[in-house]
Amino acid sequence: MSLDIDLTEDRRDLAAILRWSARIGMNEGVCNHFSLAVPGQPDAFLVNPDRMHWSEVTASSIVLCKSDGTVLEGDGPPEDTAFYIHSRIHMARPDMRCVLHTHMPYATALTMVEGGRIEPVHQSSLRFYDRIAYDDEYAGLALDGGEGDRMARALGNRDVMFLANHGVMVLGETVGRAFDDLYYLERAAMMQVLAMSTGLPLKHVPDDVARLTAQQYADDRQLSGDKFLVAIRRILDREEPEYAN
Amino acid sequence: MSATVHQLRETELEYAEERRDLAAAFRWAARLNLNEGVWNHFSLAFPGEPDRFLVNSNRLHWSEITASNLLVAHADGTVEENRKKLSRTGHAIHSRIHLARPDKRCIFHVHSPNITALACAMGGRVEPVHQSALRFANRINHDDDYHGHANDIAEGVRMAAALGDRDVLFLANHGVIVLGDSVAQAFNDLYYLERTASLQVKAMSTGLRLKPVAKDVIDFTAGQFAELRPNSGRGFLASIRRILDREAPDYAY
Repeated sequence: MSLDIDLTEDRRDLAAILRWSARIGMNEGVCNHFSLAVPGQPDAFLVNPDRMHWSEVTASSIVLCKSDGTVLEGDGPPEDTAFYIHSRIHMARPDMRCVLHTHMPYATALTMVEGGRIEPVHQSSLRFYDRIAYDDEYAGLALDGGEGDRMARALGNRDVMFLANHGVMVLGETVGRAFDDLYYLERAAMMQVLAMSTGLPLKHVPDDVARLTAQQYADDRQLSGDKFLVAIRRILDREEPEYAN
Repeated sequence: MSATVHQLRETELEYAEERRDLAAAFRWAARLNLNEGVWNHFSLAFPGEPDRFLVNSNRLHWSEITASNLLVAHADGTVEENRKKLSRTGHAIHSRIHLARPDKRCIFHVHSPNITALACAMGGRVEPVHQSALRFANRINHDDDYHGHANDIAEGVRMAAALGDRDVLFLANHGVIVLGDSVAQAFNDLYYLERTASLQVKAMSTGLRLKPVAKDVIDFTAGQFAELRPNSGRGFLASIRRILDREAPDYAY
């Protein structure tokens, strides 16, 4: 059973950002997942396969499954927590095709401290001004749909969610935009954690400047993300072209 | 494949896959910077023989280890086939813990950066403040008294006593010991322990207070991890071996 739609480039985009994320240390073991809903079908999504390191993922190894658990294409069902988190978020947010979940080091460190927030202290932080939901209640491994539904409620209509004592989730209309945000979120978190490690107070950007800059980012968002993904795919095409297989 | 790589000997074939698992763990640990010079050891006891185990020679960097250059060491410190000697500390620590803990075949000892940083701080503990930390709830003992290099077996005996029946021993001013039923399980725990320590050290560097997880959620999640433990790490190690098969296939010989 399959869908009558060509998802080849979607699969390549996902494989490319999984491999790039592994290169820059945003992965963890063989855990965590990136998913992409089929256009117009939030109940069907692509997701990276269970028990495969992100650096190994190829376009054809990515699983296509339905939110009822049916596997349409792929060697087996996705990992349990991947299914329970991603299926529920896709159903709740049909406006965003791409859902990325990581335990990337610096953003995750901020989820582990009281009042850990992305502060408006660097240009890249302002990209996320008023876009982040904070779920401050850790509730254990997401081994059933209830936890995915709880996360979806906590996310609301935002693009980015910090999960206390756990990690982050980033949504985007396209793979390019979601990955661009994921990348800059970790950059912003890294600069902030390093700044905090100096022991000096953080230097906050005035609110009017923060709002102006956030609007500049919003105006550019349609274009910027896809450029980064196109560059990543060009590099992978040269250095590890098997990602596209 | 380099010319110095030799094939497995006749006597090494019976445990060829476990030798390869262990060699793969060394190679991946080196990639992740869990190693330190040519020191520290991973050991794997033969089934039902806690007095006889596979272990690395400290004359090799972990990135050089192969399935066939692992030593077979005995609890008395001798090495089979008169090959390279086992280091004194390797003998003292690993032989005594294998004897004390026949229930766990695998013993990994490292000075990995973030775990070791916590071992160098007053009251340094893995705190239950990240999902991965909850994997270790009630599984860690702490040996808070550093006694110098473990050059004789008395120090290994002391460490084994401090470990008790737990899976992980933090060694103050020194490093950590992680036990597992298999290479896959021990490596998975070592990986996530260093990982959660690295997250915690970063979190602490902010100067903000760590955000606690409620006690009932800690217990619930620790139970979830315990149910998953028998198979934990198998997928990760299989993935590591697939990658090494492509990129560094000499590990398997």
